[in-house]
Amino acid sequence: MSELGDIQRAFARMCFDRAPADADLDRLHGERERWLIYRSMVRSRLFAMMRSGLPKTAALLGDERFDAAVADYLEAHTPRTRFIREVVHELVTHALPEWERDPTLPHLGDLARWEDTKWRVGAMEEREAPAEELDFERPAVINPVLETLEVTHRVDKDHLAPPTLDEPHLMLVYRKPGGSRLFTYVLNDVGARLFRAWCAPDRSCADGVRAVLEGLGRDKPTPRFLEGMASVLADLVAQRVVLGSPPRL
Amino acid sequence: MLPVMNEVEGIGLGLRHDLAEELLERRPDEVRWLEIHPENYVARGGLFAQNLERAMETWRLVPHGLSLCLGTVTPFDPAYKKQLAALLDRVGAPWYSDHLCFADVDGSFLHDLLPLPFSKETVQTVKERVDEVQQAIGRPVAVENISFYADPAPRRGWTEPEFLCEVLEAADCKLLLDVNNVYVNSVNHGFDPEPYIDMLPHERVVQMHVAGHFTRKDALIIDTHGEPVCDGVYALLEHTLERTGPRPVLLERDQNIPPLDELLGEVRQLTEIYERATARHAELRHGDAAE
Repeated sequence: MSELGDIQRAFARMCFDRAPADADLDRLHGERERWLIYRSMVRSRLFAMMRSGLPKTAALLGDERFDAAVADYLEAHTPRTRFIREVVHELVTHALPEWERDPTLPHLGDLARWEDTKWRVGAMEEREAPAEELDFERPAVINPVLETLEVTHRVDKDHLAPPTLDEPHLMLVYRKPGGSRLFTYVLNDVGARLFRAWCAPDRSCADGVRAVLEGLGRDKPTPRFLEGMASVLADLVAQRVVLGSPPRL
Repeated sequence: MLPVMNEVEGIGLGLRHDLAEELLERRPDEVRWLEIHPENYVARGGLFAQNLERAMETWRLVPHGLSLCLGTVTPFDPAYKKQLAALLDRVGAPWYSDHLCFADVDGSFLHDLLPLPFSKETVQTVKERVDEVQQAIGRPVAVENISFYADPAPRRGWTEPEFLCEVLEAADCKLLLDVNNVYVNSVNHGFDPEPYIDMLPHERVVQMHVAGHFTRKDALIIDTHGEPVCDGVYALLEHTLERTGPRPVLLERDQNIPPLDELLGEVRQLTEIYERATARHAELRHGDAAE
């Protein structure tokens, strides 16, 4: 048996268990108070990282509930990543099933997912996405530093008490090419259908619109639909969500 | 724009997020090189990646790891070793340092620097890990002595510096000598820090750290990197540099970060000590040669 391995495992349990076990503290020898300094340091660093990544979720839940969620994650899951920034996503993944079931805070799940997505997109690696001017008869190039999430509350507008939306909306969380600032762009149901259609790499934007119309059970676009679609597309181009069309070979 | 400083010498600062914007804007001459934590830059874009590029325009970057702690019993992740090697190549790292501690076990990461028993098993484990990392990154590995508040195994006869010497010899690696950690341990565990410094193999030292720390009411020192460097650490650094000769010294400040001008005041104070001590080292060597 490895003494070193035994010590390291006892140490990890001493730090991550909800309460340190006597057996683990005994295994480490010496003054217990000194070992509990380590427990405090390990946990306070991780708790602080969670609050950095999820400040609004933490504020909404309150200290007691948020800390309990982190403590539960530490005991049940433990951090499985060497990149401390990624523990935020691990916590959200672990806690989300419970948060999404909370009848007292119906927007809690949306808020946690939005903050988690922002945290991850802020750190996403820049990826090349060559594009030339958008041609509607060709596919679109979508900003690769972007993630989407479906929400039923505009938690980007009001994290404390946002009204429930009539239909799910699609949030686009992204950085512009070469930039570090984060943006959130929200699309209603039809806008989301169009955006998803334009994400298809082998289909022209025009064919994407036709597919959306078919999905909506319409033969032809109404003038209002065309006006809205053109407005959304122009806005997505201006906001650097749609970067253009692929370069011609 | 200042030319890139090719040598890693004199006093450096850490490229810390809270400090980066002003540091990169002003690019002060007093700061001779920068230290980075690879975990903050591997597989990451956005502001951190931009700051890294900007820093490389002026300074040599020296990577100092936080998560390949060299006493872990768990083998390292091959994918991370490749990512690390790529980053080190990109920044032209002269060496790679990480800590003589453990920070993960069986895939659980504690995100702190945790003490090892001073045992033969530990020495053998560290040797294997150092070999593994050196092979993966193709450049020297330096281990850093840590501060610790308790010893996880009963003493087996080795003092901390004896254990450190055993590790350096077995792993045939370099040493990042954290002078503050020697000072902190000397107070917390009651020993004289100067003989500790004197018995180390000085030729293996490639870099040093100094930092400030927090003293609790019960006199236990907690190594926070959140206070100014104290006089005792300055004095121990001078003692050390007189023995090692010129080695790059990093002023670590990771918490409670003050305005840049305040840190630069500490950098200037460290530079005075550095110049005085390394001149003294040269005099002593000259004296030795003359005899």
